[in-house]
Amino acid sequence: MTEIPDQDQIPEISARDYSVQDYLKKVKAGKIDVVMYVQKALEKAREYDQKYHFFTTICAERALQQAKEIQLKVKHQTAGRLAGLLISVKDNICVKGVESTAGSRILKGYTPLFNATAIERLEKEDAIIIGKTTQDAFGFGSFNINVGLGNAVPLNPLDIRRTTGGSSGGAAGMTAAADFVHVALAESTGGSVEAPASFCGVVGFCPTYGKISRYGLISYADSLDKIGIMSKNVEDVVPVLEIISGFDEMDGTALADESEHNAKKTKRTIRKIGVLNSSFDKNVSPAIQSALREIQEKLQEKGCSVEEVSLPITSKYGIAAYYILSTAEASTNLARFCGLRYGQEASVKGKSFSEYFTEIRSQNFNEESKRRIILGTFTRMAGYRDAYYLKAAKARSKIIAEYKKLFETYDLLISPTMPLVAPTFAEIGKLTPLQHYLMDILTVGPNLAGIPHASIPIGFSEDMPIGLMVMADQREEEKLLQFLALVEEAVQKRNERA
Amino acid sequence: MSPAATKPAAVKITPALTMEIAKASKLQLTDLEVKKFTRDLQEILNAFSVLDTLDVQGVKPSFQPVQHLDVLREDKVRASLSQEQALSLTKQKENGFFIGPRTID
Repeated sequence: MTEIPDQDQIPEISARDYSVQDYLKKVKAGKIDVVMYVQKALEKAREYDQKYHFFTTICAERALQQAKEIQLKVKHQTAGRLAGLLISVKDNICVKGVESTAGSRILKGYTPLFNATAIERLEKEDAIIIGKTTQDAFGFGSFNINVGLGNAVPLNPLDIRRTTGGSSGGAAGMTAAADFVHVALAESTGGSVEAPASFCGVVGFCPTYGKISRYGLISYADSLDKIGIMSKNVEDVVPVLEIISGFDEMDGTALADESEHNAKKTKRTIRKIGVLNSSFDKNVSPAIQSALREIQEKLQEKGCSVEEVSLPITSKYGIAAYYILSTAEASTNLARFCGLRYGQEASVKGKSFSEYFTEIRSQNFNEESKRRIILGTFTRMAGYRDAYYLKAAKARSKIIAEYKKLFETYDLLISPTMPLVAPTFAEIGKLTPLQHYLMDILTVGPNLAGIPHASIPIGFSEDMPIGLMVMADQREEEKLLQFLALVEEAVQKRNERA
Repeated sequence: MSPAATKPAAVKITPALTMEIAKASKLQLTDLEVKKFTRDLQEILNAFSVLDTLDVQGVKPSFQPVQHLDVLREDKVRASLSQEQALSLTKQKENGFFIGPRTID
């Protein structure tokens, strides 16, 4: 990292030069005027939004008020551990007093009366929320084109003819574009952190299921949803992960605090890496396969043993199991959105509940939301439930077991994150819904198995970033981060864009 | 279990079935949506019938991926939303109640 000049010499502190840790130290030392920094960041965020449509809401007034309070705390040496850190938040994570719609139209106007646990913990440590980022409505998409009715599709800042990826497209685009120090909170159900991170060339980190509380996350599929983190580099993930992880009595699936797993936290030598043989299937672009081969060589140079391994059940049944389970859960979760108590509403006068709910839902859900509700409702219907939903849940058991078996031998697994670089909108327009779903072939596995995984940039093809996905066993975040840092160091030169 | 349940590949999605599912989901579809979703659902379910070939004899289903111990929180009274807060996000309210559509035809 470059030497940071004193405050009077700082017109801007660029994320290109400073890590989150550098920035936090400077804030704590009183070398950065937080209010001025936030003002400038908000101006830039508005510029990015006009150009690339990264935000559903920018909460400038709230952010500036927080900045003023934090500036005082810094002066009195009472500031929290993340004092002044700017955070953008995917629209499906509730922020008190800031419109939170999960990217949909049916929740337009919903301003939560409470913070999600992750937000509560960040703000307790004096991080500053700058706004809510664009997403596929409710997380239903891999390319962020399934935005809520009336919302704009985010554009990839590296090439505006291409997708940011989805569903956390605004978060990834913002992380790639921002030249101020910033971290994004995103969310993955079946690949919504990893895919956009890969397409935009940033780090996308998804923890073990339950490590970060889901309280205040607008549900897509409860058994799969995980809040994740996006940043420009690996070390920037750590301070945010440390703050937002941990048991929360408001989430019945939150992992118990880690005392029982402390043994696993010890730094270990990473020796054996398994590279999934599905990485070299014909549907994976040759340029991506070649980038992966290069990484294998670099890892071997660093003393790792790299062997090809397979996950035959995950490869063959993962997509079907994922889409059956996720849409079944989504169809019940979205049943609560009916135009009463919050969000979009119309006059109820003279209407039966069935007429009213049908009217509101039909007018405000977008096409993909309707498609997934219908698919999920079908697979739960009497006569079909056992054949689809229950069978998929059993397939999931076999998928979890398959990963566990490999982690008995291998420290970590790797594959490309996506089979291709960010496609153009014209290319995406030619795909059928099933072809859209098949794009998640490499990311659904770790999401079904609930294991921590991340996408990290490893170079370029067609002048667009390639993402490597790294997977660790459940609760092995430490090992995953350790390895990601190793990869980052190994590919430093490849990530310099031509 | 119906015959359809044991052989998902044989499921025939018709416009009438699509409309039945939509009705159960409280969705009114246009003619174009019925046509599109019928075709999409058929294509998707045909592809997902690959699950027929997976042997799951004796396998227990996983309804979430991580093993948890039962966790109970302490049974204690704590503040919740006030009536005013709970009503603050809607225009459809009267005398401290939500107004909803009629439930009896």
